[in-house]
Amino acid sequence: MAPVTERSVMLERDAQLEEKNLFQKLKDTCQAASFLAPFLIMIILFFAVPVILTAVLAFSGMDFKLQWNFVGLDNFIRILKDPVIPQVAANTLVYVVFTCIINVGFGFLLAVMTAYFIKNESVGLFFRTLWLLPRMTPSVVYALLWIWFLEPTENGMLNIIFKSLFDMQPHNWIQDNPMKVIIFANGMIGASFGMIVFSAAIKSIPEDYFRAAMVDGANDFQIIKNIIIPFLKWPIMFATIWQTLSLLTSYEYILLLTDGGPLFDSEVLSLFAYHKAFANFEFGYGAASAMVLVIIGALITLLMLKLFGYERMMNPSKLGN
Amino acid sequence: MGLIQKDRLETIIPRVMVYVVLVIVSLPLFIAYGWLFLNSLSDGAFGGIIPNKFTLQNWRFLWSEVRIGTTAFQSIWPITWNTFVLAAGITVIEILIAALSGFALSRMKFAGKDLIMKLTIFLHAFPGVALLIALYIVLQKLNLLDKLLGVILVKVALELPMATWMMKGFFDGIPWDIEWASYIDGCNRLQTWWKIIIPQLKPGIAAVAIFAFMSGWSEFIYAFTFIYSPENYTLAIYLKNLIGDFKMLDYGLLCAAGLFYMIPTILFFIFSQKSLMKVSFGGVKGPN
Amino acid sequence: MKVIFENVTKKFGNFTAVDNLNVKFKDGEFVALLGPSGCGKTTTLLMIAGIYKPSSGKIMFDDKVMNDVLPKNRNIGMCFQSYALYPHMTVFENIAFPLKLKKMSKDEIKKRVMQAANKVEIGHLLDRKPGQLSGGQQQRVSLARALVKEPQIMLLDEPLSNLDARLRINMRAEIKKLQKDLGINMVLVTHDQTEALTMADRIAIMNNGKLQDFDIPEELYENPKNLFIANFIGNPPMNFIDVELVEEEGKYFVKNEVIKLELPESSRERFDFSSCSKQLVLGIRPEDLTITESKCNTLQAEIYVVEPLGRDKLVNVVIGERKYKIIAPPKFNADTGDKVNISLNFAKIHLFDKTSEGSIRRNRV
Repeated sequence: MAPVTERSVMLERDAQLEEKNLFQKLKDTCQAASFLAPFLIMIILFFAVPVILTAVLAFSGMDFKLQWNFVGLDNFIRILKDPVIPQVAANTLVYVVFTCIINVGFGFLLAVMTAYFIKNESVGLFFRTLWLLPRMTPSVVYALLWIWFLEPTENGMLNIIFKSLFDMQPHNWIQDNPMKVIIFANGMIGASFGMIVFSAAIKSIPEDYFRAAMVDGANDFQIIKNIIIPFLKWPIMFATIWQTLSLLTSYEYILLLTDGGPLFDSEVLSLFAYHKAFANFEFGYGAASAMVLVIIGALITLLMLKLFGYERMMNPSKLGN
Repeated sequence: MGLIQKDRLETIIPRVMVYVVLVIVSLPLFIAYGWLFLNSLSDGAFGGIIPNKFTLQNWRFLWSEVRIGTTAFQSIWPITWNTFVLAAGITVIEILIAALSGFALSRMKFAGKDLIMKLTIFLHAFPGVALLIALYIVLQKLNLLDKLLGVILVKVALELPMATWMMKGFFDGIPWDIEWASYIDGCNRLQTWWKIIIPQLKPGIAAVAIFAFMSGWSEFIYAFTFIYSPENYTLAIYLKNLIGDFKMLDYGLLCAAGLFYMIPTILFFIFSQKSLMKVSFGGVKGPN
Repeated sequence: MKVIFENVTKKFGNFTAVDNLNVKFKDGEFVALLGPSGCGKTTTLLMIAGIYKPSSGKIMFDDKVMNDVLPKNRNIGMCFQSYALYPHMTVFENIAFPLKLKKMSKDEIKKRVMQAANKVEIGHLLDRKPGQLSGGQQQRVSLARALVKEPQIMLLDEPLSNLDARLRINMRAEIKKLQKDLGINMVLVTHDQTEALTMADRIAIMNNGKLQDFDIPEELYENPKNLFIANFIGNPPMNFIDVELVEEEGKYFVKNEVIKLELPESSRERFDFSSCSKQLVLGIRPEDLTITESKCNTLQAEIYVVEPLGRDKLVNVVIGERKYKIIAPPKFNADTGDKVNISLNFAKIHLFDKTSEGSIRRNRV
């Protein structure tokens, strides 16, 4: 790391006043380029090249031999004709919509409970930390907890509960309700995202607004409706779009819990692409499926930048203030 | 008086309800993690909830090889070392690169700065995992497939936009006046760097480092996809295989192994309780 | 409506914000809670509002104990220092908000919002959002929102501190007029003594959670009960001199290393010399000191600096080690270092016990 130079300090401060010649500007840019070089190389190698590569691969029939043989639009035509695609698309929609509802809705609920109702800061913090635990737990361990919880024998937690309550025979929960399982498992992780963003936003609402509303005659429910939700309009929108985007493209927990099964009952598009590439070694076909996600991903990202502006993207709890 | 009693109830009831609801919805978390701990130390051949006899047998993977049928699992220690190398490698490389780029974005003036800032934010939001297939080909061409370094570089690249942005923020937070004052007080450039800037940067770097380490330690999908030689396995892959073979058979063993894998997570929670919420946004860009 | 505090204490953890407060506001009275920051005045206000509950003691409106009554059922209006206008609502919606929560009919709401808005002259701003208003306009909206409920009591938390100086003077008069017109109770929290002195019927001075005195402005100014009040009220502040009380040949003197002054006969009626300690603090306001030629029973001082204030001059002098302020007529002229004599208006001096800090004035019958 090179030290800050007096000259660079001067330049930053007096940039407006100082007339700089072209040579000077070039020199500054070169200096900055040397600082940014590792960053840019990494970005080019692992973002730019893969984006282009995905696009190129999508038009090839590359398989386990890793050979480029271009097949034109064949892969995309195959996607449209693939008999499992309607189910995969429907699964993706159900998965994204319902998980997102849990993420944002439950996250909001947790935030309101821990940051508004519970006035004792350390109690609120305790519960928020607790809910951060699933997110910080390695995904494999988190999956293990669910596998045990839903264990199909009479020793599974849920089966024990249902047996003692309703005298029910053991169920194979993951087999029978794969979509519900992946929605709940992902929902509990994602809820902490909403919780963190929303509780910070609630904490940043000036106390006077709550007092004013109380004096004006609002009860807790009306305060949530008339003060908290309007103030959190932008963070809620942000979290919704952000989560939609991440859910659309991530499949880690699905892979660990159901692996898309049974058959294609919980296969979503991102996992479909993964399976095509790494289970069937149809890299070309997988890339074509992934290309759909890359395009949707880029579009949603651009939409977010348009909606929220650049600066606010990095600090969503301050949105709208 | 009726009104007063009603008002009293109206204040108390929501609070009580909130506590009740919060405890009920959090109960599964208590049970799940409590079970993980208790079961790792108890002798229940099948994964019931009530722990049986105390035993250390479940932790046998620490000192002997684990067998299922005729196949033996390899020792956990080289795998733990791999995991550590992965996490530490990600941390060090990410900090170094992000410090350089964060400094440039905060303190330097150059053509195209605005563009790079916007690019950074764009990439922060862009879901990198969608590029997994292409990344496989890139690593193959770079001859980094099935190597820890390959996973390290991919992870660093994916986390760089956020890390750079955080670093930039920390540099922005150091007022120019302090730097000026140090020059006036007689520091040279190097002294200013070491005595003024770095000390103020320490907490920020620590936060970025902890999150980078944690995410590297927990990394599953890239390691699982890009690494296939058992000698390069990390704990995530090891545990995934263990679960595949031992679920419904020996939850005690799985719990112990899971808990062993979670040690850094647990330490992290114990030691960074207070500061967790303040910096956690940087760390929450997980799989979803 | 009367507002009564009976042994009210409010604690936050180990910190006592309000300590055993006993005070009674009369019906239709304009009361100011005055004190430095952290003295417990805002806590007191928020207890009237019902946002904080007293840790012990009773708060009563007339003869009803209000401790457990929710803010919304107290029929209060409140203005905040930050105005707390809801940024996502228009001015109209802001003012209508309390009425909407009461589930009033649309026509009734409209009528009453217009009335309240016209009372504070913001009828033309109803469609705007708070962000489009100036500070003074926002202040008026927050007043209208508090008034629209036709509250029995209005609470104002530092309402003027975010306005510029000129606007503040205007609003001072307007709020006072509003209160007189409506005849409702008003409680004003402020750290600005001028605000309290000009607006309130009576002032409750607080310090460290304790009520120092509760009285009309004139009485607090003329006869401060203790050193804190004497020091806090008045601008420029009162001058203080540490003295010892001595009796020589039936006459009372106050003296220290540099001064010795004879107290006139009349002071025996004002002060209780018999039972007080000998260590006193003499207080005198800058306007009760005059620069004279006479050397008899005066203080010898040296000019430190003269500050012209327009209407008169503020003369800073040094006596011994300490500095004092004197209000002099505008024609007074002197240079730094000049020696002058200063006479005291003995009818206006204040004497405080040095240890208890209380005034040794006899209680009037």
